[in-house]
Amino acid sequence: MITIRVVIADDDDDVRDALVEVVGADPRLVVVGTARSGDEAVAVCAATRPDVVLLDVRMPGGGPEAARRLTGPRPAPAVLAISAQTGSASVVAMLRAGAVGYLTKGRLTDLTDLVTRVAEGHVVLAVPGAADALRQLLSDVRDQDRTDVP
Amino acid sequence: MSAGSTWFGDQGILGDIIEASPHSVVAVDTDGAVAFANGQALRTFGYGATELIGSPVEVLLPGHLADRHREHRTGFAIHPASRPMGIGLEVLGRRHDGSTLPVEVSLTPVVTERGSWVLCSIADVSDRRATEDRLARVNRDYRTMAALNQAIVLAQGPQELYAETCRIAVEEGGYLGAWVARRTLHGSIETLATAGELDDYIAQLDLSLDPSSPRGNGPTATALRTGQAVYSSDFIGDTTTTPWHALAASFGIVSSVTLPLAVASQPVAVLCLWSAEPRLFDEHLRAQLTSLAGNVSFALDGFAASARLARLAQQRSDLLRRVVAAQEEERARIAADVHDDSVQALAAVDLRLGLLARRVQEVAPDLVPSVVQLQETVSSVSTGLRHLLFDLERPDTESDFDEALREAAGHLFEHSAVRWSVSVEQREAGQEPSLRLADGVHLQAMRIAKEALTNVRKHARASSVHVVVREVDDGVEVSVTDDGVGPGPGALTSTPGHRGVATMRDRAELVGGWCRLEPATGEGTTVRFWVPRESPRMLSLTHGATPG
Repeated sequence: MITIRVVIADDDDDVRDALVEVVGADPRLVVVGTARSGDEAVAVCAATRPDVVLLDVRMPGGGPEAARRLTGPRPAPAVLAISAQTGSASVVAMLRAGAVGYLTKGRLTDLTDLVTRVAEGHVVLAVPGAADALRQLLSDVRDQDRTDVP
Repeated sequence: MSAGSTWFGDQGILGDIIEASPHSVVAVDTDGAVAFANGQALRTFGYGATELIGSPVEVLLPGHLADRHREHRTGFAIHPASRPMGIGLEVLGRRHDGSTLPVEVSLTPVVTERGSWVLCSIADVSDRRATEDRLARVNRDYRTMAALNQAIVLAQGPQELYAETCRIAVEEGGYLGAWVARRTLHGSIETLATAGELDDYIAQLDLSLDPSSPRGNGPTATALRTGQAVYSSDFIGDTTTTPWHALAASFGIVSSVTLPLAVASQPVAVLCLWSAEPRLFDEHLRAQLTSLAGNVSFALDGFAASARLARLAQQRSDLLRRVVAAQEEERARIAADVHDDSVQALAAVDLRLGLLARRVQEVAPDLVPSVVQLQETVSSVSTGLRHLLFDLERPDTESDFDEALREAAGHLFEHSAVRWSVSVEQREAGQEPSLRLADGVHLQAMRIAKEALTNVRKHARASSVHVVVREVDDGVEVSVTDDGVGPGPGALTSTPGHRGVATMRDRAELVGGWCRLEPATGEGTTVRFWVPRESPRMLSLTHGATPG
């Protein structure tokens, strides 16, 4: 069985340690690096080439900016955003920046299952603002189409 | 009574008619000598019965007109025709004593078997001229008043009003110069506006406001002291203006009026008008001038009141802005604390509980339900904290207003049984309403809507809430209607734990809108508010400084 390589980026020591423990306890996953900021996450990913990055939205240099930098170079890891900010605006911003998943902090019971899903190419939006975020993204796309028509 | 009664033979009835004329009638022969003058002519020009007969007619004219008249007379003798004399000219007659009077003259050639004469009919028009002059003066006064009243209505502030008043007094009112001056806090006199040709005169006035000084009892000082208008029909003959007689004479000043201008019934400034004519400040003109000063004072009171009002509005708006900015800052700080401490800690607990659950599954399966229970408790506390975060954090102002409302409602009623809807009413069928608001307005409108929705969730015991958004005027009106228990007695003020409509109203007014609480038809409550698309600029209300 191929293990999924995971980088964990969160500036809160407690949360990061807990994430490392949870991910590390699942035999399908292996933690190849951790980071406390967006910059660090970019450097660690460049060095370790993970399959999935768990990216805290609200940390120094985190959020959409970090997601863009992480998904820029190919092959890019799947970015799975984790946040207590669950408004659709935040979800939309992360999806636009290249994230393929968004999870709610404080409700991460089946975290490792969701990580494997993302690694397989699924989109995982386990967040209350997800439906609104999708509607917003789709209507943006429609507006884009309309303006593209000559 | 007449003279030269036999000038063309038997006068008969014709002579009687001429004698009865209310006008002076004089017959002049071809040599220009007076051959006849009726009684009215003798009375008007002050001659005795025979004094005029044989005299050249030019004795009835002032010297400067006499020579020219001689030439005209020769021309008329060659081409005699009935006509008025001196068309377009003011013709003057000369009395025996040398004084003059305005007259109108018409000439009629008369030929009889005894020779040719010219019959001059002369009307004394002194009274008519006087009436015409008076009418012209009254007309000018009314024109001036009309222009001044218009200036009062149009002026944007005191300074403009002073300048316009001076300009109009000079241009329309025919005054030599006009001056508005005020008493400064240090007891000196400061020029606010002038018009006309007396700026040098004004510069040399050297006024005092000290009643013990001879220069402190002139018209300006008196008007400021008493609040009464000071008239000087004969400036040079007036003893109160003695210190300025020589100066005034060199500038051609003959009369003056000084009107006090008041703010809140206190004389704070004067309007001085100087005239080159001996103006008779009769009752009519005094009434006009008093009314002018009253109107200017009224306008000054208006400026002062609107300036005070604008200052108050500005102060209130500044205060609200500061309060709201402080609130936003405080909210952001609390949000950061909640996130960094509680939410993060709970997230870690949640993760570790997950691990624990797996271990318990292996070693003590009977304890699993307790761990699951714990996980649910943590999850529900997390949800509560996330709501708090959402409420505390600055609303996103990127999206359309109705989108933001949907997101807020979705968030607030997550895991709640309350049904909610957000609908947009079109102003006209098929026309997409524009719901983009300026950032500051969007922020306040979202705060109001979220407070209204939070109140519904926490206090209304409602089963449904409907938010309706529509474009009204140049802004957006929002109504939040629930079917709950209706507003309590404390809803109009802020009570602990319940954000009353007062906070919402403050927020709406801050951006130039309004907010009110309406009992919904049937049961429940409607919070209705309107905000403009752009926040108004409060400063545009402020007028310039007021005098005093």
